[in-house]
Amino acid sequence: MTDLAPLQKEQVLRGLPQPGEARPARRREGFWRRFFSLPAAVFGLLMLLFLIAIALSAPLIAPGDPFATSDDVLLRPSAQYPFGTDDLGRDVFRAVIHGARTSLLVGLLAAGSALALGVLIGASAGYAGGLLDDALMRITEMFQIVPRFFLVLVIVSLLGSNLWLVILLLGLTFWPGIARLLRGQVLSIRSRDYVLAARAIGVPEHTILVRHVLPGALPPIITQAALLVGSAIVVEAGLSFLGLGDRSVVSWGALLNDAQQFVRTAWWMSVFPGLAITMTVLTLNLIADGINEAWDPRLQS
Amino acid sequence: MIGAQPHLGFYVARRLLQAVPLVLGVLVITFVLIHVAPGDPITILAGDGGDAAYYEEMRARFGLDRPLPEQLVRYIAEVARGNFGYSFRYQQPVYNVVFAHVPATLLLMGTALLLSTSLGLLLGTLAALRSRSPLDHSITAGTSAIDAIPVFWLGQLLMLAFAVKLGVFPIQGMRSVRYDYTGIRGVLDILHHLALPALTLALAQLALIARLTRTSLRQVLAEDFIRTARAKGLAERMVLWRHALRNALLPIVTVIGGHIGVLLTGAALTETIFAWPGLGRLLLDSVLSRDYPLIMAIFILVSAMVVLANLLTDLIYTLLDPRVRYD
Repeated sequence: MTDLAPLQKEQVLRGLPQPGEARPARRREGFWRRFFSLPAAVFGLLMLLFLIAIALSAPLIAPGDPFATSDDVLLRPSAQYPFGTDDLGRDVFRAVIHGARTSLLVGLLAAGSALALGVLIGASAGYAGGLLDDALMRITEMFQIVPRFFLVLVIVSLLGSNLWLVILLLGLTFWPGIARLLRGQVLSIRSRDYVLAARAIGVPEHTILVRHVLPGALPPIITQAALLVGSAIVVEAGLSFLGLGDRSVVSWGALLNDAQQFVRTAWWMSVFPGLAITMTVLTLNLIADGINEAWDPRLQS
Repeated sequence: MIGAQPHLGFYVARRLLQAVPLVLGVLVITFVLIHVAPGDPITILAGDGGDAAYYEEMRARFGLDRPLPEQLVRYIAEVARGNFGYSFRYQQPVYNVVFAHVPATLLLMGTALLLSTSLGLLLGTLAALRSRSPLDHSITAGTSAIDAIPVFWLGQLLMLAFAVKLGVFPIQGMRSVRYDYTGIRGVLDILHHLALPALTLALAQLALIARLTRTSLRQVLAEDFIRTARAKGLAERMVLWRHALRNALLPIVTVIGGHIGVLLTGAALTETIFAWPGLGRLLLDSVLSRDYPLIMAIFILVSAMVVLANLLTDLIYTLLDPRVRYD
C-alpha cells in the first residue's frame, strides 16, 4: 500500500498539489490580475498591510510600556481603555497592539527561514538523490511521528524560553513540508523533454533549476509559506499560552494565559487577544487561497 | 474482507517491525536532548539545599553518574522489558503514572473524533450535493472561519459562553468534586464534564473533514459508475449511501489517520484549558517539573500511538476498498 501517500492538511484545505504531483510552469501571465480579481484575496492582502502597519506604529497608536501596571484593575472596556484592563491594571488594548509586533516577527522570520531551508534541502535532495534524499525522507517521517508542538515545547522548556530560540526551533521544524514539495517538483520535471533539451544544449544545471524547476514549484511553496506564517504565530501563541513563552515580550498567547484565571470575571482579557490571533491567521489563509487560486484557476472548479 | 486476504498477520508484523527503528530514533533523540540540556535533575530529586555528598549518593542511586551512552543503553534495555523508570515527581513507577492518564485522553480524543467526523461528513455531504448554492458557500466560509481559531482560544470562548454565561456545563475537571457519584450517575457526570472539551477539540478538526468530504464526494459523484448506478434506476439515496459516500470515505480515513499527532497536540491544549486529567496535561506537568523519565515515556507512547494509528488507517482502508491489497 505504498501508493497511499499521507495527505497533508494544506493539500486538503487549500488544494495544494500532493507529493509527486507537479504542476507545469505556466499560467504565470496575468497572475496578479487574477489575484486582484479575487475579493477575498484582496481583503486578505489589505488586512495584512493593516496588521503590518499596526505592528510598525505600535508605539504611536498605543504609546507607553505595555507592561506598565496601574490601579485601574480589571476594568471593563471603556473609552479610556477600549479593551479593558487586566488583573494588574495593564491596558489590554496596548498589549494587543504591541503583541502584533511579536506575532508578526515570529511568523515572518520562522516561515522565512523554513522557506530558505526547505528550498535548499528539497532542491538538493531532488537533484542529488541517494543518501541526502533518504535522510530527508527519514527526517520527515520522524516529524510525522512526534508532534512538532511537543518537540518544540520540550526543547523550549529545557533550554529556557527566548523569542529567538522559538523562532529558530520553528524554522528547524517547519522546513520538511516545503522540502518535500520542491523535491517532488524536481523529480518530476528534471527528466522532462524540455529540461533534457536544455541540458543537451549546455544550459548549466543551476540555470535549469532557477528557470524551469522553481517557477512551477513556486506557487504551492509560496502558498505553503504563507500558511506557515500563520502556523508559526499559533505555535508561539500556544507555547505562551502554556506559560512557556518569552515573558520579556508581549505575546497574544501570554495574554490568553493571563485571561484563563479570570474567565469568570473578565471576558475582555480573553476575547480581544484571541480575536487578534484569529484575524491574523484568517488573513494569511485568505492570501494563501488567493495565491493558489490565481495561479491555477482550474483548482477551484 | 480482511479474512479473505491471506497475509494479514505477516503484513501487520512487518509494519510493526518497520516502526521499531523510528520509535527507537525518537527515544534516542529525546534522551540525548534531555541529557545535553542545561539543568540538573538531581536538584528536583534531592532539593536545592542538599550537600555535595548527598547529591553524589542520589546520582549513584538513579544511575545518573554513569556515562551518557551507558545510561542510554541501560534505558533502552529497561524500556524493552516494559520498565519506564521511576517518576521523580509522582514518586511512582512511570508506567503506572502514564497509564492512569491514558483513558481520559482516549475518551476525549475518541469523542471529539466521533463528533467532528459525523458533523464534518454531514456538512461536507450537504455542501457537495448543493454545490455552489448559498448553503455550500456558507458551510465553506463557516468552517474556514472556525479553522482560523486557535484551539486554546476556542476552548476559552466555549467556556465563556456555555460554562460562565449560560452555566449549562461545568467549567473544569472530569468529575464533580462536591458529590461522589457512582454507577450511571457517575457516567453522566463525566459526560457532562466531557461535553465542552470534546466540542472544542471536535470543532478544531471540523473544517478539515467537512472540506475533504465535499471535495472527495464531488469527485466521486462525477465518476462513471455513479452515472451507471443512476442509469440503472437506483434510488438517489442508494446511489449516495452505497456508492458515492463509501468511495468518498477513503481519502477521509487517510487524512484522519494521518492527523493523530495534530489531534494529540490539540488534546494537550484542550486538557490544559479544561483541567482534563489526560496525557497532555501530564506532559506539560512533567516538562515544567523536569520529570525526565516521565517526559521520555510520554514521547515513546505518543510516537507508538501515531504508528499504530497509521497502521490502523491502512487496515480500515482495505476494509472499505477490497481492491487495495497489502504487498
